Amino acid sequence: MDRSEGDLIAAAAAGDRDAFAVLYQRHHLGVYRFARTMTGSTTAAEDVTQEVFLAFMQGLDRYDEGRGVLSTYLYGVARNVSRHRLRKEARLVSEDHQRSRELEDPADNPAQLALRLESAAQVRRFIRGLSSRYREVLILCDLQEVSYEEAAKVLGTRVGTVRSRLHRARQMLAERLVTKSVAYVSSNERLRCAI
Amino acid sequence: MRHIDRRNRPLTADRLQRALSAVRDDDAHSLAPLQLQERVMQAWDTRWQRRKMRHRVLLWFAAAATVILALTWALTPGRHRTPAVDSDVMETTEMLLERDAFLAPEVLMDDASSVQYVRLSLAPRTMAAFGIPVADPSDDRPIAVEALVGIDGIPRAIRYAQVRGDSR
Repeated sequence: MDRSEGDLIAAAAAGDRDAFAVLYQRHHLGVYRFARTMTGSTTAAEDVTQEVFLAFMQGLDRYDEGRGVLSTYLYGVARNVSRHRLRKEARLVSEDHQRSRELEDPADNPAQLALRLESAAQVRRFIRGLSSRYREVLILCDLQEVSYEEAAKVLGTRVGTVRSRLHRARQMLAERLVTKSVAYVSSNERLRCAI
Repeated sequence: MRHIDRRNRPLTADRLQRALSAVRDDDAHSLAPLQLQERVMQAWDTRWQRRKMRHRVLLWFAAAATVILALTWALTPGRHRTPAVDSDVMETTEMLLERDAFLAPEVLMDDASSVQYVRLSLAPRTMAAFGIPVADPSDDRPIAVEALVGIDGIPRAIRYAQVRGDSR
């Protein structure tokens, strides 16, 4: 029988290794995926996920279940760690931008580029181009499918703010998707027909 | 949307949804490496080992402190003394209770350490009133006695004063 999250947290706080492993299994993917899209790097996502669970481990005694579900807490920590990491390692971001430009080279094979524009990797780059406040809300609500209320708790803001930021984030992402396509189409008549 | 033609909005929304679902699909296929779990669980083990070690050290210190305190207490001279009764009085009190004392009737005996040993002179008729046999109750000459008096001032036991060298 599946143990409730509260039981698992209490058991883990008492030193039950298996309970902590179950909690990790339940939540690590969400945290990892959030961190991956936030930072744009799998290595950074691994580090962020590790830091999140270490922070959770250290705060197990003080963890207050009444303040929200565990995923909210973990996303909140992941958000802070990711932002801190991005601020600290701005160099990595600039390298990513460089790589992004290389991949958008119009001299590429048109068919490949068309595929790339739609590919997850390219969309991730567009998402990463958004500022943190829009990026995190888009990742939480549209990719991790977290409710507005939960996202508001994670971000420490109101539900109305989450809605408006999400709306703006979607607008900006759509704008980028269209702009990149139009830029390419204008430089290649053959692809215009294909699209 | 500032840069997007109104006619293209449904297309754009569709494109956005397709783009987001591409990332979601990619996410669904991306797994965190197993080494990550190993690293986290290793950190867990290290943390709990350290915690157990700290607990053991604390217990060891507590035990050592207890032993040191017990030894200090045991080796401190005069630890049995109380402010009210010194050791000589205690001995006399015990001796008095063992020999020749008349326990006061209907009065509960206190703890020996809470009574005071006193020497006093009483009239024979007072002694008789306590139920102590006297040769002549009408005699006016006071009799030297030793008594144990409780903290309420009521005598708990009385006997004739011991004469130095008395072998009784």
